[in-house]
Amino acid sequence: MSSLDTAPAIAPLADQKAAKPVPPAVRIARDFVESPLAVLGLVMLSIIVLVAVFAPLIAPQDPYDLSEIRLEDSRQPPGSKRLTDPWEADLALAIDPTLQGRTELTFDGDAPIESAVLSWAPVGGENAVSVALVFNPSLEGVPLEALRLDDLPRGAELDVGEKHSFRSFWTVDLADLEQFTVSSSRDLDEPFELELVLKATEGEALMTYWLGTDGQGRDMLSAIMYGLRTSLAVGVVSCFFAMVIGLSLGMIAAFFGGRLENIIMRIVDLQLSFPTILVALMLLAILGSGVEKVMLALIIVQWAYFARTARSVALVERSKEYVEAAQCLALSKGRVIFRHLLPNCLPPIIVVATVQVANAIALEATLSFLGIGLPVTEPSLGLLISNGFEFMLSGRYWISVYPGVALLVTIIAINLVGDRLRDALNPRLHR
Amino acid sequence: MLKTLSTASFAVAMVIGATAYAEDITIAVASEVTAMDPHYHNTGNNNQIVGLIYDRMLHQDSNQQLGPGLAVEWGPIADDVWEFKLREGVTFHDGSALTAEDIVFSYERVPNVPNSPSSFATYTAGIAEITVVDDYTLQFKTNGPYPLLPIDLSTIQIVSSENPDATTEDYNAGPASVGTGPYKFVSYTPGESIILEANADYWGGAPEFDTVTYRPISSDAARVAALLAGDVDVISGVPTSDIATLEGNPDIVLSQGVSNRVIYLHVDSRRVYSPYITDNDGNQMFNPLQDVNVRKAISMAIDRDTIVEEVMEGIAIPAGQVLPEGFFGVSENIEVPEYDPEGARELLAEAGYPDGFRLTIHGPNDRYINDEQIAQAIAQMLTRVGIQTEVETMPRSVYFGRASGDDEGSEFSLMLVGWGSGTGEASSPLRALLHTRDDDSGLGRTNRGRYSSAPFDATLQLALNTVDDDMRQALLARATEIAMREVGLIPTHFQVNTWGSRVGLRYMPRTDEYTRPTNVVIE
Repeated sequence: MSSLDTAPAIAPLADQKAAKPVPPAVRIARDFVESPLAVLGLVMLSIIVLVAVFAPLIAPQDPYDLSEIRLEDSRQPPGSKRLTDPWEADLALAIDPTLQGRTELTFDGDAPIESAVLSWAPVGGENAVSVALVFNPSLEGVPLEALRLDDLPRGAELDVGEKHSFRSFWTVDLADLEQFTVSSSRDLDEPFELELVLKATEGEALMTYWLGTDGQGRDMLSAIMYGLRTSLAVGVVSCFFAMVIGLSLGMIAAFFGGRLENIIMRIVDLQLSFPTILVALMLLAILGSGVEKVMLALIIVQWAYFARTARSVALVERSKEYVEAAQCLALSKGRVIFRHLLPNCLPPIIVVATVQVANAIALEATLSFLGIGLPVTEPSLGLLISNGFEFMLSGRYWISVYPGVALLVTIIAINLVGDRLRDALNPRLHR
Repeated sequence: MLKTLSTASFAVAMVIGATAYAEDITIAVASEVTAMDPHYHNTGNNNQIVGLIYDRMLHQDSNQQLGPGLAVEWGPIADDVWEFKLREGVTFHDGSALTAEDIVFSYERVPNVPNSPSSFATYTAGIAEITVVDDYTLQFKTNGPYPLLPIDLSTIQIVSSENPDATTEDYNAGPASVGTGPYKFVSYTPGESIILEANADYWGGAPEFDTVTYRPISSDAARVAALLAGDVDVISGVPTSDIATLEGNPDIVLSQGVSNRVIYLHVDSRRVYSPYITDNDGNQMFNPLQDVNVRKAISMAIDRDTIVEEVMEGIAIPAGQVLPEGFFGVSENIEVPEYDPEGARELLAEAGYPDGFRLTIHGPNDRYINDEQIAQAIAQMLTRVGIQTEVETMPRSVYFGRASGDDEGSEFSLMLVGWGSGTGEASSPLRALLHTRDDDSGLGRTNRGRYSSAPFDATLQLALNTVDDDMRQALLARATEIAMREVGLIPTHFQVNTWGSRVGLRYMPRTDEYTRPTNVVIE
C-alpha cells in the first residue's frame, strides 16, 4: 500500500510527461464515484448532515422548547395545521329554584347568550326548570362546536344532549339549546350555576404539521431534524474519541509488542466478548442519563474495534522498510509511531470508523428506545420511535414510522458510503 | 350491583348444571406480584391475587363498601372494644376448620414479616389486644376510639395458623399458601404465571371458573395484542390510545370504571434547599416551594382539562382533591382548580419570582396510565408560566425508592405519584400522604413532600377518633379542605380504568383497580 500523504511523490521528469501521476486522493475519489449507489449514499448523507447542522434555522418549530409545543395539538395526522387558539366563551347561568314562576336573565353585549328565560314546572312528578336561551346575534357565522354544560346539581338530568359516560358534564347540540329542561328526582331547592362552555371549531392556521405531531403536540418534522442532530452528533463524536483511543492503543501494542501488547489485546478481547448493548446498558445504569453519558458509554464500547484493527494493520506496516529506515535515523519512537506508521494505517481505520458511526447511531437509538439515555423532552430518533410505538395499534403510524425511516435512511447512507470507501481504499481490488 | 349480577349468574349456572363450570380463564395484568405472601407487600398487584386465595374478616365489594367476610357480625361494645362473630363451618383448603386462633395468628404475623417493602402494620397498629372469647368470638381492644377498625381489618388476609413458621418463600413455593378463599393456589412461576383452581367447597358458593391463570404482560401493546390474538381472555390497563380502535372491534368487550386512584404531584414544601430547584442561571436558591403561593401558582398553571382531554384522551376525571366524589369523606366545597396561567404568573411575581425559576419534575414511566406523558405535559404547562421545567422519568423499581428518600427527605423536588385508597374512604390518603411524617404512629409514611400543618393534623386526628359516621365524614372533608387550601399536594386527575375481555365475557369494574375472575361475568 502506498503512503497517502506523508511523502510527496517526486517522480522523474520523464515520467511526468508520459503519464501524469495521479494523487491518491483523486484516485480514490475516482474509484468512489464509479459506483452510482455510493454516490447516491453520499448525496443522501450530505443532505442529512446539512439538515442536522442547520436544523435550528430550517425546522418549523423548536421541538425542545416546551413553551413552543402545544398539548392541544397532540397526535395530529400529517398535513394538519396548527391553529390559533380557538375562540372560547364561558358563561355562568345562575338558577335559583326558590324563585318560582318565570325569571328572565339578560347578559352583557358581548356574552354569547343575550338572554335566558327560566320557567318552573314539575314534569312527571319531578322538579324541573325549563330554560330558553337566545344566542347573541354576533355569533352568527362563528363555526361553533357542540356546547358543554357543566356543574349540574347531583342527580339532575337534561332532556337534550348526552351526558359524558363518567364525568358530570353534558354535551348538547346547539340547535337543542334554545329550549331545554333540567329535571331532578331530588328537590331542586338550592341555587346552582350552570356553566356553559362554547367553543369555535376553527381558528387561523399558523403552520402545517407536514409529518403530524406526537403525543405531546411536537411537530414530527422538526423533531426528526433535531433528532438527527442528536443522533449524528452522538455517533460522530463518540466514534472520533473511540478512534483516537483505539488507534493509539492498537499502534502502541503493535509497535512495542511483548507484555504491553498482551495486556492491551487481552483487554480488547475481553471487551469484545461482551455484547455491546449489554455493556452500554450496564454503563448507563451506573452513569445515569444525559447526552455526555451516552457518548461516554459509546466510546467505552467502541474503542476495542479500532484497537484491534489498528494493531493488525500496524503489525504489517511495522515490518516495512520505511519504518526500519525511520528507526535507523534514530527518530524518537513517538515520531515513528505517529508521523510514519499512523498515516499508513489510516485507510482501513477510516472504513471501520464509517461503519462504527452507523453502529453508534443505531446503538444510541436502541438505548433511547429502551428508555435510558436521553431526556424525554429532548427526544432523539430512537426515543421518537419508542414514543410512537404505543400509538401503532391505534393507527397513528406517523409518530413511529417517520423517525424510523429517517434512522433507516441515515444508516443505509453511511453504510453505502463506508462500503464503497472500503473498496476504493483496498489496493488488492485494483485491477 | 356486581353482587346481584354475580349471584344471578350463579343461579343460571346452577340451573344449567355442571357444564357451566368447565371454564378456564386467563387474565393478563400489567404488573407482576412481588410475592405470594399475603402480608409481605401492600400493593394492589399483590392484593388482587392473594385476595382470591384468602378471605378477610370483612370484604370490600366492587365499590369498596364493607360487607361480611369471615366475620358475620361486628360492632363496638365499648368505646375502645370491638366484638366480632366469626362465620361457622369455614374450612381452609387443606380441610382444617377456621377458628379464632387463625385470626389472632394472622394479625400477629403482619408486623413481623421480614423485609416488607410496604407493611400492612399501619392497619394493625391501632389494635392493643385481641381476646379470644370462644372459637367463633373475638374481642379487639384498641388504642382509644378506633372507628376505622372494620375498614382496616378488611385489608388483611387471614392465613392458617397450621403453618406458624412459614416464611415468604414458603408462601411463594406453595406449601404455606393455604387460605379459605374461592380459589386454591396451584403454582407461581415468577415472570410467567400464577395458576389457581376453584375451591368447590367455598362458603360463598363454588366460583365460576375451574382454573384461573394470571399472566404478567407489562408492555401495553403486547397485552392488547395477546387479547386480540385470543391468548388471554381478560386484560387490565387497556391503553387509552387503543380504546377507540378496540371499541370498534366486535370480538372485544371493553368496560370502564372510575377508580379511587388520584394522580397528583408531591411538592417539596419543607426544605430550605431543594435538590432539583435552581434559579434561571443554574445557581442554588432558597426553595420557592416553601411558599404556599408558589405551590398555588403551580396548581393554577396546570390545565387539568387538557391533560384529561389530550393526554388521557378523555378517559380520566380532573381532580381537586384526593378522592373522586361519592366516596366517604370527600368535601363538596372543593372545586377543581381553575386553569389560570395569567393568575399563576401574577402569583409567582408577587411571591418574588417574576422570572420564575428552574426545576425538574420526576415521574415513573411504567406505573400509571400515561405517566410519562403526563409529566411532560405538566412540564410544558409550567414552562409556559415561567418555571423552566425539565422532565426525568424512570422505571418504578428505581423511582419509588428515590421518591420516598430517607430521613432527610425525598431525592426529588416535584414528583408525579398516584395513590389508591385501600380503605375506600378519605382517611387512607390523608393519613399516608398529608399528615406530618411520624414513624411511630405510622402516619405520613408516604408524605414525600413533607407537608406539615398543625391544623390539618389536629383535624385528621380528631376524625380518626370520631365514632359517629356523619361527624367523621365532615371532619375528613374539613381536613381535606385545609390541606388543599395550603396546597399540601397538587391533584391532577382521577384514573379511569379500562378492562378488555373477549366477547362472551364482561369485566365488572372495581374502584380499587383489582382485576379478579370473581368480577368476570359470562354473557
